[in-house]
Amino acid sequence: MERARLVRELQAIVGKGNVLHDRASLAVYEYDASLFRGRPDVVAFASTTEQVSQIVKLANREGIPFVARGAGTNLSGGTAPTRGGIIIDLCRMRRILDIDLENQTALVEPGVYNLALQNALAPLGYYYAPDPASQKVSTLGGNVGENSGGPHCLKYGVTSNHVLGAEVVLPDGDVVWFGGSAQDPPGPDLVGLLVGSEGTIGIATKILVRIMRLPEHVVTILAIFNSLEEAGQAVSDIIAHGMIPATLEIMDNLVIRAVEASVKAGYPEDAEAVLIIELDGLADGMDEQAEKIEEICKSNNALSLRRAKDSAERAELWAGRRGAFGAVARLRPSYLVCDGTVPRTKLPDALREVKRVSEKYGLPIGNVFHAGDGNLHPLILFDGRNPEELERVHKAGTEILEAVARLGGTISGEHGIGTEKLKEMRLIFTEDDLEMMRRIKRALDPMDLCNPGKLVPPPIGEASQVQAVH
Amino acid sequence: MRSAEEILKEAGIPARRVEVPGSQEEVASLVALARKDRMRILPLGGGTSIGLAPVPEEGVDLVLDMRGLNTIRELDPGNLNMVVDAGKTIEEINRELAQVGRGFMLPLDPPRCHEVTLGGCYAANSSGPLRHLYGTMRDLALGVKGVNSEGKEVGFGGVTVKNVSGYDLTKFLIGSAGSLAIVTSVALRILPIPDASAMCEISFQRGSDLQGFLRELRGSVLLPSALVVTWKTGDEALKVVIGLEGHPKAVERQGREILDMANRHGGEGQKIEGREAMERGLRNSVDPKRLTSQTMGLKVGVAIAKGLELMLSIEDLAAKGQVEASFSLLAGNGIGFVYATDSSTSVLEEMAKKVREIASEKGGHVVPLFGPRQILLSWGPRMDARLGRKTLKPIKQLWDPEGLLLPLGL
Amino acid sequence: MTEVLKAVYDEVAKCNKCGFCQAHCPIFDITRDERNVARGHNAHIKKLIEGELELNEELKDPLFECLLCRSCVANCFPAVRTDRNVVAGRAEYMRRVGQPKIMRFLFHNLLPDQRKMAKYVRLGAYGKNSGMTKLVRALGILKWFGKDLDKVEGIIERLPTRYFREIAPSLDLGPREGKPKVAYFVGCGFNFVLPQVSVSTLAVLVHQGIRVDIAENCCCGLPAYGYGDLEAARAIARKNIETLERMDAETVLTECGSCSAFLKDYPELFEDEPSFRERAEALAKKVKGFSEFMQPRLSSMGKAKELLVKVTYHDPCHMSRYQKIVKEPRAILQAIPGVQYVEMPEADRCCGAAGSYNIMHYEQSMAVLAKKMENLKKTQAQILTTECPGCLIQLSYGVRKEKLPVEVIHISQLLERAYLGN
Repeated sequence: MERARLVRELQAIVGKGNVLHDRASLAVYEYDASLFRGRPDVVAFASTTEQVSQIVKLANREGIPFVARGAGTNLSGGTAPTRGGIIIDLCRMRRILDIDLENQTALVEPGVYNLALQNALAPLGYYYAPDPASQKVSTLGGNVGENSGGPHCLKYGVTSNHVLGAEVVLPDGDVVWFGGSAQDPPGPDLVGLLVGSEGTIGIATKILVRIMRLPEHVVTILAIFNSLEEAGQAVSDIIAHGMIPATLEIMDNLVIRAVEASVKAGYPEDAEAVLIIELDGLADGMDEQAEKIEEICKSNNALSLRRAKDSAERAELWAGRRGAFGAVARLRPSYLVCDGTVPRTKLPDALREVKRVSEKYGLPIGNVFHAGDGNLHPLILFDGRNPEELERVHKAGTEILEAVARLGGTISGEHGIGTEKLKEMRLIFTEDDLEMMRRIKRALDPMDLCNPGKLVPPPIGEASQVQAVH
Repeated sequence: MRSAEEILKEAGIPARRVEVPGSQEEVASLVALARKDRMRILPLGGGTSIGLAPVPEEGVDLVLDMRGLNTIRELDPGNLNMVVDAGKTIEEINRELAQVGRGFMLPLDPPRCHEVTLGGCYAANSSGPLRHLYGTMRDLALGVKGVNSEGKEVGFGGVTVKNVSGYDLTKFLIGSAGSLAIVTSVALRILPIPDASAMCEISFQRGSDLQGFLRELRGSVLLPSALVVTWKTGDEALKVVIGLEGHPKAVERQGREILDMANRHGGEGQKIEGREAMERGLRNSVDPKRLTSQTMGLKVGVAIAKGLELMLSIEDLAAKGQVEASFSLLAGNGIGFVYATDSSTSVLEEMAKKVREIASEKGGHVVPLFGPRQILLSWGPRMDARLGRKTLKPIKQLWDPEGLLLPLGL
Repeated sequence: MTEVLKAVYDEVAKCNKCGFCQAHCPIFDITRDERNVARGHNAHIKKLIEGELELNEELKDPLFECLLCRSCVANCFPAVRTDRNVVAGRAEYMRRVGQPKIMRFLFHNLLPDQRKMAKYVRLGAYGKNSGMTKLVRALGILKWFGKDLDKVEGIIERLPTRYFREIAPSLDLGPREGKPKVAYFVGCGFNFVLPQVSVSTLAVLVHQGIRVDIAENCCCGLPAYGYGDLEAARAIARKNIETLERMDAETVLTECGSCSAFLKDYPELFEDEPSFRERAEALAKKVKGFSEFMQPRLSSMGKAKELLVKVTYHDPCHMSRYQKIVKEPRAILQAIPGVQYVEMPEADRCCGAAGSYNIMHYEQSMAVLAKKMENLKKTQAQILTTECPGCLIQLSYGVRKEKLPVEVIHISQLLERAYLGN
């Protein structure tokens, strides 16, 4: 379809001021927070489900690919188009439509920031459990697309465990509801399929989430160790004692030093590992549990322990962890956040592999990880303007994922596959597995227009249409 | 435990052949064989939710009794997960887990869990009282392995809690009731058995009092593991069974506060200590009291706030039709079980029809778990038909083009 | 690659596209358009440098929609100086495409010459105050107000007939012996629009027995810099540096947050001129904002009358994020007897004035202002204080529009009221 006509038709749907088609505008919609780039042909800001549906129907009529986009903060290339087409920007659909305390649900539009929902719920004594580190900029629509995690997953699960239903614009433009406020909708779990589908089988235009009562009491403990192994062993011991803390986060020395340089959280710069533990629930017995945890840390040679006395101190202890990625970003112009998950007890092995890869490719790598659920985030530092370094970075990333797969883990804990990890999918799935996934895609999007080129690699022999560009 | 033949006979399902595979490979080769002869396949567990699968009137060609696959394949208490064959019963899994180390549990307690197999529980999305705190299969399943309609062995997910690699087929297949793949093993989260357990049993004379109590309890910071309201036609009072687990101090405090709360709302109750008592109490609260060939089991789902009112309306229906029935409401989830027994199948059918009407009016849904064959045959769509046609039908067409597995139920 | 752009290439490359700036940018908060956020600005400049994009209208327009409030910089993990990158983009546009004659006249002829500027502003003021807008438009001075003239006119209620520099000779500036302790830098905002603030500031200084000399400075040059006319900004800066050096005062004081911030940033203008750079650095060390100067000296103000009033404070971008002066104004307000200080939510969120942003981008500016008014209402304060003329004008406008019973004044005016009984 001729571009000018496409622009006119989109303008007729969303209004003239809501369609971007000049080169300068399109140039800032070719990226997200990953290293992948893909230029769209046009960007349309939608404000209603009806508009999204009409845009998708137009795309179907003309055979034009489309990609739904929130804040574009995903780390795997999920919102950058592989074959041009229309970006359907949902950021202006930003209302919290309903909060229903009795039924323990909230209904939101996809452009609502995760943190905005938390802030609306907190005064009512409730919260929404999945709290990814990106929560102040990632939208709930994006959280659904990527099945975002966060530091509280060990105890509370990920986004998928907290989405009850969604209004979905299917790849052919029709609107349906998956799930709803009545739990256990009969049949296969379509909501479970939608969450984490990275925008490839439909666009969520309303999302119904489960909300929970804020825990009565929270205890936050910071422990400093002289080695990652001891910190990891402390984590294993805590769990072996039958406790499931809400959070278990670890940062290594490179990250600690970066954090001290920027946020100054009070970590000793020569410490090898910082472990943050959080317990939540009823106050009764929590102090005893906290003491037990401190004992366990000490028996694993913890250098020092700090327990937060109040919410201000709690914020202080967390400040370092929340600023970790950013602090690391100061060290080199670019960084690649890897995202693998291994069974928790295999973390020390995984970290040894990361170190080996770092030395092999001559790239500094810092580690932040959700020690409780084995999700590690090696941060590979480099200068993105140097193509040779970029190549080494991609190779290093792949080798890390290979090690992760070998240790019985998976290649993406929370950031998704997008375009970035298409080839690594074969590390953990057989061709038969992948074919079943391809058939899901083909069944729901036979024309392959709904965020094409993501999530599932094409069969061997078929060229990938995707090239990672920086 | 009933044999496959008994289950099939009771459910009135004609079957030409019954096999008992002992491994995933066997399942795969049987399916491949079935494919050659275009045989329709029914995977069978304990048959407790056989009503979910829309078995055609002419029956099936090949029944795979999955209970031959019944080992724990991997057990990793340090990492809080395990991989179990689909044919093991939930009760047996828990019995074995309790003996491991400090004692572990799989917090799944669907009705009739001594008969429910893991695979059946997964395929039917069955759950019980403990879902109040621990969630359902979608919160506990980490990965799944199975055989597709072509006889190929496939696997999705893994053993880690965090996993967003590819489409989440571990979740998608939950509730698929044998229509999309045959599940051979599931990777699951396990948890350490809590230090202390107890149970509160409380009676309420009036529904309105009970409603007030439930509202207050649900809106509080207390964290019971289970919250079940149970009664049967003819009962004077509604009984509430509440499971409590955790640190001894927390259990003690919750027991105290809950009984106080109940008193304030006109209820009367007591607390009983001990894990065994709690487990028994919870099981009794959801198992059918009577189970005959003329017993119909229904599962209803509605928004949490409407749960009690829906179940009470269903009781009215039963009373009007003079049907003997028992009711269990998982009051924190809006999920209810209705077990109705009557010598007349058409009376039961009529009741089922009305239950579906009032559930629908309240925005809820009803599915048949088991019952007289006639009711199951004439049930019609077991899910939202329009939704199913748009989304599940195309997937089914590509995954099972020859229609060897059970139909979707649209 | 031109010099202007080359200087910021490393800076734009530091952006790793995490997108966290979206949570802090007041303009992005309204439009949710990637072109209006730091990540987008940096991407534009980078592509401009790398030759991928041309410097056309579509690229330049979003660059001029940035408030330069530095909210992004303050929250950016690698602390990318997006404000500098944006200005470099504007400067490059100006270099290639030029600027409207009126702007060139303003930056090269008026801003550096305070007397000439006063003449032209007076003409505009007559037009406004007597409603002779048509005549004013015909003279072409205020042509740049454009199509929003009707609404924009309301932002400033009335222009004064006497400017501060005309009032100054009649002020009692106290003892004249010794070296001047304070060189008072006259900001254009106070000189031409709010002279009463300057009067109060001087009264407060004189009250402490400080010898104050009024500098014969010209505009600090920030409007030229913000527009991208770096050449004009440098010429102005050189002039001011010379003027202030000659005065040889201990401190250069201004109660205009934008002026003090820009004066302290003069060294950045002279990265390629080491000699001027040194002189700019020497000057920068002497520059103090009002509360920065006053807070350690509050005890020398003597006795105060109890004011019994609820007061809140708005942090001008140039005070908080540019100069990191945050504690001092609050310490002053909390020390005034009788004053009940209440902290405004998001006190440091930009008010939308951003110099002349409210004129050039009226709609956006009003949307940003609306949020500020919402937060102000929550304080239930009777007095809103701040330390910048742009903010004072914008906030007064907001309060007038929403008919709030709030008085908007500078901290110096509140101090005068409390300690000098005026």
